[in-house]
Amino acid sequence: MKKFVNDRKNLVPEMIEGFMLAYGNTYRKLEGRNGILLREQKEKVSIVTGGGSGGEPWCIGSVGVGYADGVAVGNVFAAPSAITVAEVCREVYHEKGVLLITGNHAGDRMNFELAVEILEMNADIRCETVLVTDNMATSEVREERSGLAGCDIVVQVAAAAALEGMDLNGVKQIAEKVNANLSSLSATMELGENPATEKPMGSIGENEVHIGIGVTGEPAMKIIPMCTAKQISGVLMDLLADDLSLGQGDEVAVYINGGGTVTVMEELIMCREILTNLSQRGIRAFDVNLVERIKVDKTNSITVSILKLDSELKKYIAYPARSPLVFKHHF
Amino acid sequence: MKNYLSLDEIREMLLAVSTTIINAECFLTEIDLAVGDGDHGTGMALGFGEVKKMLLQTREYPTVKMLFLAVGSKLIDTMGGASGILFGTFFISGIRGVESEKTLALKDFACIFENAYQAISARGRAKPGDKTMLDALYPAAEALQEAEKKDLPLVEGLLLASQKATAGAEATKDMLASKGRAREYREASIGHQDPGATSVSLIVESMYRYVQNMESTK
Repeated sequence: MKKFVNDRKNLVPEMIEGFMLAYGNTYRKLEGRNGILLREQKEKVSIVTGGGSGGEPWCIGSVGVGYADGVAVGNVFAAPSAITVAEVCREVYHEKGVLLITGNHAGDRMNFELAVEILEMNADIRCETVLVTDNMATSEVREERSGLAGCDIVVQVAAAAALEGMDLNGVKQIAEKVNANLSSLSATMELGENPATEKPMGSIGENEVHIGIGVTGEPAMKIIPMCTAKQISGVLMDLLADDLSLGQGDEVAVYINGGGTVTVMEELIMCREILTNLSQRGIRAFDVNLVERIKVDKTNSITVSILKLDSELKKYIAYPARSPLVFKHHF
Repeated sequence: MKNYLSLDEIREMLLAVSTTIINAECFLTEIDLAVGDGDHGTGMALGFGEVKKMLLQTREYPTVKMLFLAVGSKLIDTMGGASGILFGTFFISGIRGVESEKTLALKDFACIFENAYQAISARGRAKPGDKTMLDALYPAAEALQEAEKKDLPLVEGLLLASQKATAGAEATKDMLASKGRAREYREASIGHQDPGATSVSLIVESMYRYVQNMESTK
Protein backbone atom coordinates (compact mmCIF):
# COMPACT_ATOMS: atom_id res chain seq x y z
CA MET A 1 0.00 0.00 0.00
CA LYS A 2 1.27 3.47 -0.86
CA LYS A 3 2.21 5.55 2.20
CA PHE A 4 3.34 9.10 2.93
CA VAL A 5 6.72 8.10 4.41
CA ASN A 6 10.41 8.38 3.58
CA ASP A 7 12.74 5.58 4.70
CA ARG A 8 10.81 3.20 6.95
CA LYS A 9 13.80 3.02 9.29
CA ASN A 10 13.21 6.67 10.25
CA LEU A 11 9.46 6.64 10.92
CA VAL A 12 9.59 7.58 14.61
CA PRO A 13 12.37 10.23 14.49
CA GLU A 14 10.71 11.94 11.51
CA MET A 15 7.30 11.79 13.15
CA ILE A 16 8.73 13.50 16.24
CA GLU A 17 10.55 16.08 14.11
CA GLY A 18 7.24 16.94 12.44
CA PHE A 19 5.55 17.34 15.81
CA MET A 20 8.38 19.50 17.17
CA LEU A 21 8.52 21.75 14.11
CA ALA A 22 4.81 22.39 14.45
CA TYR A 23 4.55 22.73 18.22
CA GLY A 24 8.05 23.54 19.47
CA ASN A 25 6.78 26.69 21.15
CA THR A 26 4.61 24.58 23.50
CA TYR A 27 6.72 21.43 23.76
CA ARG A 28 10.37 20.57 24.08
CA LYS A 29 12.21 17.39 23.20
CA LEU A 30 15.00 15.78 25.17
CA GLU A 31 18.40 15.95 23.49
CA GLY A 32 19.19 12.66 21.76
CA ARG A 33 16.16 10.87 23.18
CA ASN A 34 12.55 10.40 22.17
CA GLY A 35 11.10 12.15 25.19
CA ILE A 36 8.71 15.10 24.82
CA LEU A 37 7.55 17.45 27.58
CA LEU A 38 5.39 20.51 28.01
CA ARG A 39 7.57 23.63 28.17
CA GLU A 40 5.34 24.96 30.90
CA GLN A 41 5.67 22.64 33.89
CA LYS A 42 3.21 23.28 36.72
CA GLU A 43 4.09 22.83 40.39
CA LYS A 44 1.99 19.75 41.02
CA VAL A 45 2.28 15.99 40.86
CA SER A 46 3.51 15.32 37.35
CA ILE A 47 2.12 12.63 35.09
CA VAL A 48 4.51 10.76 32.82
CA THR A 49 3.33 8.24 30.28
CA GLY A 50 4.79 6.36 27.36
CA GLY A 51 4.55 3.43 25.05
CA GLY A 52 5.30 2.19 21.58
CA SER A 53 4.66 4.12 18.39
CA GLY A 54 2.38 2.88 15.64
CA GLY A 55 -0.93 3.69 17.33
CA GLU A 56 -0.99 7.50 17.04
CA PRO A 57 -2.44 9.73 18.46
CA TRP A 58 -1.31 7.40 21.29
CA CYS A 59 1.23 8.16 22.90
CA ILE A 60 2.84 11.25 21.37
CA GLY A 61 -0.61 12.88 21.56
CA SER A 62 -0.94 12.37 25.30
CA VAL A 63 1.23 15.24 26.48
CA GLY A 64 -0.77 18.39 26.97
CA VAL A 65 -2.83 20.59 29.24
CA GLY A 66 -4.98 18.32 31.37
CA TYR A 67 -2.98 15.34 30.03
CA ALA A 68 0.53 14.02 30.77
CA ASP A 69 3.39 16.44 31.45
CA GLY A 70 5.92 14.25 29.67
CA VAL A 71 5.96 11.23 27.39
CA ALA A 72 8.59 8.64 26.45
CA VAL A 73 8.00 7.54 22.85
CA GLY A 74 9.14 4.05 21.91
CA ASN A 75 9.96 2.50 18.54
CA VAL A 76 7.08 1.04 16.51
CA PHE A 77 5.20 -1.46 18.71
CA ALA A 78 8.09 -1.41 21.23
CA ALA A 79 8.19 -0.01 24.74
CA PRO A 80 10.32 3.10 25.28
CA SER A 81 13.77 2.65 26.77
CA ALA A 82 13.90 2.68 30.57
CA ILE A 83 16.63 5.30 30.33
CA THR A 84 14.38 7.64 28.31
CA VAL A 85 11.49 7.15 30.75
CA ALA A 86 13.80 8.03 33.64
CA GLU A 87 15.11 11.12 31.80
CA VAL A 88 11.57 12.37 31.14
CA CYS A 89 10.76 11.96 34.84
CA ARG A 90 13.88 13.93 35.72
CA GLU A 91 12.95 16.74 33.37
CA VAL A 92 9.30 17.25 34.37
CA TYR A 93 8.53 19.14 37.58
CA HIS A 94 9.16 16.29 40.01
CA GLU A 95 9.39 17.96 43.40
CA LYS A 96 5.89 16.75 44.31
CA GLY A 97 6.50 13.30 42.86
CA VAL A 98 5.76 11.64 39.53
CA LEU A 99 2.96 9.25 38.65
CA LEU A 100 3.96 6.96 35.78
CA ILE A 101 1.11 5.49 33.78
CA THR A 102 1.51 2.94 31.00
CA GLY A 103 -0.31 -0.01 29.47
CA ASN A 104 0.18 -3.42 31.02
CA HIS A 105 2.45 -4.94 28.38
CA ALA A 106 5.61 -6.81 29.34
CA GLY A 107 7.95 -4.37 27.62
CA ASP A 108 6.28 -1.24 29.00
CA ARG A 109 6.06 -2.70 32.50
CA MET A 110 9.72 -3.76 32.59
CA ASN A 111 11.10 -0.52 31.19
CA PHE A 112 8.97 1.59 33.53
CA GLU A 113 10.07 -0.59 36.49
CA LEU A 114 13.73 -0.20 35.62
CA ALA A 115 13.21 3.56 35.15
CA VAL A 116 11.77 3.83 38.67
CA GLU A 117 14.75 1.83 40.04
CA ILE A 118 17.16 4.17 38.24
CA LEU A 119 15.35 7.25 39.61
CA GLU A 120 15.19 5.96 43.16
CA MET A 121 18.89 5.01 43.13
CA ASN A 122 20.32 8.06 41.43
CA ALA A 123 17.94 10.96 41.71
CA ASP A 124 15.84 10.43 44.80
CA ILE A 125 12.63 11.23 42.89
CA ARG A 126 9.40 9.87 44.37
CA CYS A 127 7.57 7.76 41.84
CA GLU A 128 4.46 5.68 41.73
CA THR A 129 3.33 3.55 38.80
CA VAL A 130 -0.08 2.50 37.52
CA LEU A 131 -0.32 -0.19 34.84
CA VAL A 132 -3.50 0.09 32.79
CA THR A 133 -5.31 -3.22 32.45
CA ASP A 134 -8.44 -2.41 30.44
CA ASN A 135 -8.53 -5.10 27.73
CA MET A 136 -11.18 -7.41 29.18
CA ALA A 137 -10.57 -10.00 26.47
CA THR A 138 -7.10 -10.88 27.70
CA SER A 139 -7.93 -12.33 31.10
CA GLU A 140 -10.69 -13.05 33.59
CA VAL A 141 -8.39 -11.59 36.23
CA ARG A 142 -8.36 -7.79 35.97
CA GLU A 143 -4.77 -7.37 37.24
CA GLU A 144 -3.44 -9.69 34.52
CA ARG A 145 -5.12 -7.91 31.61
CA SER A 146 -3.24 -6.03 28.93
CA GLY A 147 -3.75 -2.36 28.20
CA LEU A 148 -5.84 -1.43 25.18
CA ALA A 149 -7.40 2.03 24.79
CA GLY A 150 -7.44 2.86 28.47
CA CYS A 151 -4.11 4.56 29.05
CA ASP A 152 -5.22 7.92 27.68
CA ILE A 153 -8.37 7.67 29.81
CA VAL A 154 -6.45 7.03 33.05
CA VAL A 155 -3.92 9.76 32.19
CA GLN A 156 -6.64 12.39 31.72
CA VAL A 157 -8.37 11.66 35.03
CA ALA A 158 -5.06 11.50 36.93
CA ALA A 159 -3.97 14.79 35.34
CA ALA A 160 -7.23 16.42 36.47
CA ALA A 161 -6.71 15.19 40.03
CA ALA A 162 -3.14 16.53 39.96
CA LEU A 163 -4.36 19.91 38.72
CA GLU A 164 -6.77 19.96 41.67
CA GLY A 165 -3.71 19.84 43.93
CA MET A 166 -3.93 16.22 45.08
CA ASP A 167 -0.74 14.65 46.43
CA LEU A 168 1.06 11.72 44.81
CA ASN A 169 -0.74 9.02 46.75
CA GLY A 170 -4.10 10.68 46.11
CA VAL A 171 -3.48 10.92 42.37
CA LYS A 172 -2.34 7.32 42.29
CA GLN A 173 -5.50 6.18 44.08
CA ILE A 174 -7.69 8.06 41.60
CA ALA A 175 -5.78 6.48 38.70
CA GLU A 176 -6.20 3.04 40.26
CA LYS A 177 -9.92 3.69 40.78
CA VAL A 178 -10.29 4.51 37.09
CA ASN A 179 -8.38 1.38 36.14
CA ALA A 180 -10.53 -0.79 38.41
CA ASN A 181 -13.74 0.54 36.85
CA LEU A 182 -12.67 0.62 33.21
CA SER A 183 -13.13 -2.13 30.66
CA SER A 184 -12.45 -2.02 26.94
CA LEU A 185 -13.34 -4.45 24.19
CA SER A 186 -12.68 -4.31 20.46
CA ALA A 187 -14.53 -5.60 17.42
CA THR A 188 -12.17 -6.02 14.45
CA MET A 189 -13.05 -6.66 10.82
CA GLU A 190 -9.57 -6.43 9.29
CA LEU A 191 -6.04 -6.61 10.61
CA GLY A 192 -3.37 -4.19 9.50
CA GLU A 193 0.39 -4.47 9.27
CA ASN A 194 3.37 -3.43 11.35
CA PRO A 195 4.24 0.06 10.00
CA ALA A 196 7.97 -0.53 10.36
CA THR A 197 8.24 -4.03 8.90
CA GLU A 198 5.15 -3.92 6.65
CA LYS A 199 4.43 -7.49 7.73
CA PRO A 200 0.72 -8.31 8.22
CA MET A 201 -0.42 -8.85 11.78
CA GLY A 202 -2.65 -11.82 10.98
CA SER A 203 -5.79 -12.48 8.98
CA ILE A 204 -9.52 -12.39 9.52
CA GLY A 205 -12.01 -14.33 7.41
CA GLU A 206 -14.28 -12.53 4.94
CA ASN A 207 -17.37 -13.28 7.00
CA GLU A 208 -15.88 -12.85 10.45
CA VAL A 209 -15.78 -10.22 13.15
CA HIS A 210 -13.17 -10.84 15.85
CA ILE A 211 -14.06 -9.72 19.34
CA GLY A 212 -11.26 -8.88 21.74
CA ILE A 213 -8.17 -8.39 19.58
CA GLY A 214 -5.47 -6.35 21.31
CA VAL A 215 -3.50 -3.37 20.11
CA THR A 216 -1.06 -5.23 17.89
CA GLY A 217 -3.16 -8.09 16.63
CA GLU A 218 -3.25 -10.48 19.57
CA PRO A 219 -5.88 -13.20 19.00
CA ALA A 220 -9.60 -12.72 19.63
CA MET A 221 -11.58 -14.05 22.57
CA LYS A 222 -14.58 -14.73 20.35
CA ILE A 223 -15.30 -14.86 16.63
CA ILE A 224 -18.77 -14.02 15.35
CA PRO A 225 -20.16 -14.02 11.82
CA MET A 226 -20.34 -10.64 10.09
CA CYS A 227 -23.51 -8.84 11.23
CA THR A 228 -25.05 -5.41 11.80
CA ALA A 229 -23.75 -2.57 13.96
CA LYS A 230 -26.66 -3.24 16.30
CA GLN A 231 -25.72 -6.90 16.68
CA ILE A 232 -22.03 -6.19 17.14
CA SER A 233 -22.83 -3.56 19.78
CA GLY A 234 -25.11 -6.06 21.49
CA VAL A 235 -22.25 -8.55 21.77
CA LEU A 236 -19.82 -5.90 23.05
CA MET A 237 -22.27 -4.41 25.53
CA ASP A 238 -23.33 -7.79 26.95
CA LEU A 239 -19.70 -8.59 27.70
CA LEU A 240 -18.78 -5.12 29.00
CA ALA A 241 -21.89 -4.68 31.16
CA ASP A 242 -21.32 -8.09 32.71
CA ASP A 243 -17.63 -7.40 33.31
CA LEU A 244 -18.34 -4.10 35.06
CA SER A 245 -21.48 -5.38 36.81
CA LEU A 246 -23.43 -2.51 35.31
CA GLY A 247 -27.04 -2.13 36.28
CA GLN A 248 -30.03 0.14 36.40
CA GLY A 249 -29.16 3.59 37.70
CA ASP A 250 -25.42 3.40 36.97
CA GLU A 251 -23.63 6.25 35.20
CA VAL A 252 -20.82 5.72 32.74
CA ALA A 253 -18.39 7.48 30.46
CA VAL A 254 -18.28 5.98 26.97
CA TYR A 255 -15.29 6.07 24.64
CA ILE A 256 -15.74 4.89 21.06
CA ASN A 257 -12.44 4.53 19.23
CA GLY A 258 -12.31 3.64 15.54
CA GLY A 259 -9.19 2.29 13.90
CA GLY A 260 -7.89 1.72 10.41
CA THR A 261 -10.30 2.92 7.72
CA VAL A 262 -13.35 2.92 9.99
CA THR A 263 -15.19 6.16 9.29
CA VAL A 264 -16.61 8.71 11.69
CA MET A 265 -20.01 7.82 10.22
CA GLU A 266 -19.55 4.23 11.39
CA GLU A 267 -18.44 5.46 14.80
CA LEU A 268 -21.62 7.54 15.10
CA ILE A 269 -23.79 4.59 14.07
CA MET A 270 -22.08 2.40 16.68
CA CYS A 271 -22.60 5.27 19.13
CA ARG A 272 -26.32 5.16 18.36
CA GLU A 273 -26.44 1.44 19.09
CA ILE A 274 -24.32 1.58 22.22
CA LEU A 275 -26.21 4.49 23.79
CA THR A 276 -29.56 2.87 22.93
CA ASN A 277 -28.34 -0.34 24.52
CA LEU A 278 -27.25 1.52 27.66
CA SER A 279 -30.56 3.35 27.85
CA GLN A 280 -32.46 0.06 27.63
CA ARG A 281 -30.45 -1.14 30.64
CA GLY A 282 -31.34 2.01 32.60
CA ILE A 283 -27.72 3.21 32.47
CA ARG A 284 -26.94 6.90 31.90
CA ALA A 285 -24.13 7.87 29.55
CA PHE A 286 -22.85 10.91 31.45
CA ASP A 287 -19.98 11.57 29.06
CA VAL A 288 -19.44 10.35 25.47
CA ASN A 289 -16.13 10.53 23.59
CA LEU A 290 -15.70 9.87 19.89
CA VAL A 291 -12.24 11.35 19.31
CA GLU A 292 -9.86 8.57 18.28
CA ARG A 293 -7.14 8.04 20.85
CA ILE A 294 -5.35 4.99 19.49
CA LYS A 295 -5.36 3.88 15.87
CA VAL A 296 -3.32 1.10 14.36
CA ASP A 297 -2.95 1.41 10.60
CA LYS A 298 -5.43 -0.64 8.55
CA THR A 299 -6.73 -2.47 11.59
CA ASN A 300 -10.40 -1.84 10.89
CA SER A 301 -11.87 -1.99 14.33
CA ILE A 302 -13.94 -0.22 16.88
CA THR A 303 -12.86 -0.32 20.51
CA VAL A 304 -15.46 0.52 23.12
CA SER A 305 -14.30 1.58 26.57
CA ILE A 306 -16.76 1.96 29.41
CA LEU A 307 -15.81 3.70 32.66
CA LYS A 308 -18.21 3.19 35.56
CA LEU A 309 -18.52 6.54 37.32
CA ASP A 310 -19.03 7.78 40.84
CA SER A 311 -19.35 11.45 41.84
CA GLU A 312 -15.58 11.87 42.21
CA LEU A 313 -14.80 10.43 38.78
CA LYS A 314 -17.61 12.47 37.22
CA LYS A 315 -15.86 15.61 38.41
CA TYR A 316 -12.51 14.68 36.84
CA ILE A 317 -13.99 13.29 33.62
CA ALA A 318 -15.48 16.72 33.01
CA TYR A 319 -12.04 18.41 33.12
CA PRO A 320 -10.95 19.56 29.66
CA ALA A 321 -7.71 18.20 28.24
CA ARG A 322 -5.99 18.92 24.97
CA SER A 323 -2.94 18.20 22.90
CA PRO A 324 -2.34 19.02 19.22
CA LEU A 325 -3.57 15.54 18.34
CA VAL A 326 -6.39 14.64 20.72
CA PHE A 327 -8.75 16.27 23.17
CA LYS A 328 -11.17 15.56 26.00
CA HIS A 329 -14.21 17.75 26.42
CA HIS A 330 -17.39 17.20 28.39
CA PHE A 331 -20.28 18.43 26.23
CA MET B 1 44.90 -24.29 24.62
CA LYS B 2 43.44 -20.88 25.27
CA ASN B 3 41.49 -20.79 28.47
CA TYR B 4 40.67 -17.14 28.76
CA LEU B 5 39.85 -14.21 26.50
CA SER B 6 41.65 -10.87 26.69
CA LEU B 7 39.65 -7.64 26.80
CA ASP B 8 40.15 -7.04 23.08
CA GLU B 9 39.23 -10.64 22.27
CA ILE B 10 36.02 -10.21 24.30
CA ARG B 11 35.23 -7.10 22.27
CA GLU B 12 35.89 -9.07 19.07
CA MET B 13 33.65 -11.88 20.34
CA LEU B 14 30.81 -9.44 20.98
CA LEU B 15 31.35 -8.07 17.46
CA ALA B 16 30.94 -11.60 16.14
CA VAL B 17 27.76 -12.02 18.21
CA SER B 18 26.43 -8.74 16.81
CA THR B 19 27.12 -9.82 13.25
CA THR B 20 25.38 -13.16 13.82
CA ILE B 21 22.23 -11.44 15.10
CA ILE B 22 22.26 -8.86 12.30
CA ASN B 23 22.51 -11.64 9.74
CA ALA B 24 19.67 -13.56 11.43
CA GLU B 25 17.16 -10.71 11.08
CA CYS B 26 14.93 -12.44 8.50
CA PHE B 27 15.02 -15.76 10.30
CA LEU B 28 14.08 -14.18 13.64
CA THR B 29 11.32 -12.14 11.96
CA GLU B 30 9.75 -15.29 10.49
CA ILE B 31 9.76 -17.01 13.87
CA ASP B 32 8.24 -13.97 15.57
CA LEU B 33 5.43 -13.63 13.04
CA ALA B 34 3.94 -16.89 14.28
CA VAL B 35 3.44 -15.76 17.87
CA GLY B 36 4.28 -12.08 17.86
CA ASP B 37 4.02 -8.90 15.86
CA GLY B 38 6.94 -9.84 13.63
CA ASP B 39 9.38 -7.28 14.95
CA HIS B 40 11.79 -9.39 17.03
CA GLY B 41 14.23 -9.76 14.13
CA THR B 42 14.14 -6.07 13.24
CA GLY B 43 14.52 -5.00 16.85
CA MET B 44 17.44 -7.34 17.56
CA ALA B 45 19.19 -6.37 14.31
CA LEU B 46 18.71 -2.70 15.16
CA GLY B 47 20.05 -3.12 18.69
CA PHE B 48 23.03 -5.27 17.77
CA GLY B 49 23.65 -3.05 14.75
CA GLU B 50 24.19 -0.13 17.12
CA VAL B 51 26.31 -2.32 19.41
CA LYS B 52 28.48 -3.29 16.42
CA LYS B 53 28.92 0.39 15.45
CA MET B 54 29.88 1.24 19.00
CA LEU B 55 32.38 -1.64 19.29
CA LEU B 56 34.04 -0.66 16.01
CA GLN B 57 34.23 3.01 16.98
CA THR B 58 35.36 2.53 20.57
CA ARG B 59 38.03 -0.15 20.76
CA GLU B 60 39.35 0.53 24.24
CA TYR B 61 37.39 -0.25 27.40
CA PRO B 62 38.94 0.09 30.87
CA THR B 63 37.44 -3.19 32.12
CA VAL B 64 35.19 -6.07 31.04
CA LYS B 65 32.49 -4.57 33.26
CA MET B 66 32.54 -1.26 31.40
CA LEU B 67 32.38 -3.09 28.07
CA PHE B 68 29.37 -5.16 29.15
CA LEU B 69 27.59 -2.14 30.67
CA ALA B 70 28.10 -0.21 27.44
CA VAL B 71 26.68 -3.07 25.36
CA GLY B 72 23.72 -3.58 27.70
CA SER B 73 22.81 0.11 27.87
CA LYS B 74 23.08 0.40 24.10
CA LEU B 75 20.60 -2.47 23.66
CA ILE B 76 18.07 -1.03 26.15
CA ASP B 77 18.33 2.39 24.58
CA THR B 78 18.22 1.34 20.94
CA MET B 79 15.68 -1.44 21.03
CA GLY B 80 13.31 -0.46 23.80
CA GLY B 81 10.56 -3.01 24.15
CA ALA B 82 10.66 -6.19 26.16
CA SER B 83 13.55 -7.61 24.11
CA GLY B 84 15.68 -4.52 24.64
CA ILE B 85 15.41 -4.59 28.38
CA LEU B 86 15.80 -8.35 28.71
CA PHE B 87 18.83 -8.66 26.43
CA GLY B 88 20.23 -5.47 27.96
CA THR B 89 19.80 -7.06 31.40
CA PHE B 90 21.79 -10.09 30.18
CA PHE B 91 24.86 -7.88 29.88
CA ILE B 92 24.24 -5.34 32.66
CA SER B 93 23.24 -7.85 35.32
CA GLY B 94 25.31 -10.69 33.89
CA ILE B 95 28.63 -8.98 34.51
CA ARG B 96 27.71 -8.09 38.08
CA GLY B 97 29.83 -10.12 40.47
CA VAL B 98 32.41 -11.14 37.86
CA GLU B 99 35.66 -10.40 39.65
CA SER B 100 37.99 -10.54 36.69
CA GLU B 101 38.71 -7.08 35.30
CA LYS B 102 40.51 -7.69 32.01
CA THR B 103 39.84 -11.31 31.05
CA LEU B 104 37.06 -13.87 30.94
CA ALA B 105 37.66 -17.53 31.66
CA LEU B 106 35.15 -20.40 31.80
CA LYS B 107 34.25 -19.65 35.42
CA ASP B 108 33.47 -16.05 34.44
CA PHE B 109 31.20 -17.18 31.61
CA ALA B 110 29.42 -19.46 34.08
CA CYS B 111 29.02 -16.51 36.47
CA ILE B 112 27.71 -14.22 33.73
CA PHE B 113 25.12 -16.71 32.52
CA GLU B 114 23.93 -17.53 36.04
CA ASN B 115 23.62 -13.83 37.02
CA ALA B 116 21.86 -13.07 33.75
CA TYR B 117 19.43 -15.92 34.26
CA GLN B 118 18.55 -14.75 37.79
CA ALA B 119 18.10 -11.12 36.78
CA ILE B 120 16.03 -11.85 33.67
CA SER B 121 13.89 -14.31 35.57
CA ALA B 122 13.17 -11.65 38.23
CA ARG B 123 12.63 -8.79 35.76
CA GLY B 124 10.39 -10.77 33.45
CA ARG B 125 8.73 -12.71 36.28
CA ALA B 126 9.31 -15.91 34.37
CA LYS B 127 10.90 -19.30 34.89
CA PRO B 128 11.97 -22.18 32.63
CA GLY B 129 8.94 -23.80 30.98
CA ASP B 130 7.16 -20.49 30.41
CA LYS B 131 8.33 -20.52 26.77
CA THR B 132 10.73 -17.58 26.96
CA MET B 133 14.42 -16.84 26.40
CA LEU B 134 15.03 -18.49 29.79
CA ASP B 135 14.38 -21.87 28.19
CA ALA B 136 17.63 -21.48 26.28
CA LEU B 137 19.48 -19.41 28.89
CA TYR B 138 18.92 -21.72 31.84
CA PRO B 139 20.29 -24.87 30.14
CA ALA B 140 23.27 -22.84 28.89
CA ALA B 141 23.98 -21.57 32.42
CA GLU B 142 23.71 -25.10 33.81
CA ALA B 143 26.03 -26.47 31.13
CA LEU B 144 28.69 -23.83 31.87
CA GLN B 145 28.56 -24.63 35.60
CA GLU B 146 28.91 -28.36 34.87
CA ALA B 147 31.85 -27.67 32.56
CA GLU B 148 33.50 -25.47 35.20
CA LYS B 149 33.16 -28.21 37.83
CA LYS B 150 34.81 -30.68 35.44
CA ASP B 151 37.54 -28.11 34.71
CA LEU B 152 36.98 -28.36 30.96
CA PRO B 153 38.71 -26.09 28.42
CA LEU B 154 36.84 -22.88 27.62
CA VAL B 155 35.98 -23.96 24.07
CA GLU B 156 34.43 -27.22 25.27
CA GLY B 157 32.40 -25.46 27.93
CA LEU B 158 31.00 -23.07 25.34
CA LEU B 159 30.26 -25.94 22.95
CA LEU B 160 28.19 -27.70 25.61
CA ALA B 161 26.40 -24.45 26.49
CA SER B 162 25.65 -23.86 22.81
CA GLN B 163 24.26 -27.37 22.33
CA LYS B 164 22.06 -27.06 25.41
CA ALA B 165 20.83 -23.61 24.44
CA THR B 166 19.91 -24.76 20.95
CA ALA B 167 18.08 -27.81 22.30
CA GLY B 168 16.32 -25.57 24.82
CA ALA B 169 15.16 -23.20 22.11
CA GLU B 170 13.84 -26.08 20.00
CA ALA B 171 12.02 -27.50 23.02
CA THR B 172 10.01 -24.27 23.30
CA LYS B 173 8.08 -25.39 20.21
CA ASP B 174 5.89 -27.65 22.31
CA MET B 175 5.42 -25.25 25.21
CA LEU B 176 2.35 -23.13 25.91
CA ALA B 177 3.29 -19.45 26.06
CA SER B 178 2.48 -17.83 29.38
CA LYS B 179 4.49 -14.59 29.17
CA GLY B 180 4.73 -11.57 26.94
CA ARG B 181 2.61 -11.04 23.89
CA ALA B 182 2.76 -14.72 22.93
CA ARG B 183 0.64 -15.74 25.90
CA GLU B 184 -2.38 -14.13 24.27
CA TYR B 185 -2.09 -16.75 21.56
CA ARG B 186 -2.84 -19.43 24.16
CA GLU B 187 -2.99 -22.88 22.50
CA ALA B 188 -2.04 -21.39 19.14
CA SER B 189 1.42 -20.72 20.55
CA ILE B 190 2.15 -24.45 20.63
CA GLY B 191 4.14 -25.65 17.62
CA HIS B 192 6.12 -22.42 17.30
CA GLN B 193 9.62 -21.84 18.62
CA ASP B 194 10.07 -18.87 20.97
CA PRO B 195 11.91 -15.96 19.29
CA GLY B 196 13.74 -14.85 22.46
CA ALA B 197 15.01 -18.37 23.16
CA THR B 198 16.12 -18.62 19.53
CA SER B 199 18.11 -15.40 19.83
CA VAL B 200 19.80 -16.65 23.01
CA SER B 201 20.82 -19.88 21.27
CA LEU B 202 22.26 -17.89 18.35
CA ILE B 203 24.23 -15.71 20.77
CA VAL B 204 25.71 -18.67 22.65
CA GLU B 205 26.52 -20.49 19.41
CA SER B 206 28.26 -17.38 18.11
CA MET B 207 30.37 -17.14 21.29
CA TYR B 208 31.37 -20.78 20.88
CA ARG B 209 32.28 -20.33 17.18
CA TYR B 210 34.43 -17.31 17.96
CA VAL B 211 36.50 -19.17 20.54
CA GLN B 212 36.63 -22.26 18.31
CA ASN B 213 37.95 -20.17 15.40
CA MET B 214 40.60 -18.69 17.67
CA GLU B 215 41.70 -22.21 18.63
CA SER B 216 41.82 -23.49 15.07
CA THR B 217 43.72 -20.53 13.60
CA LYS B 218 46.52 -20.69 16.15
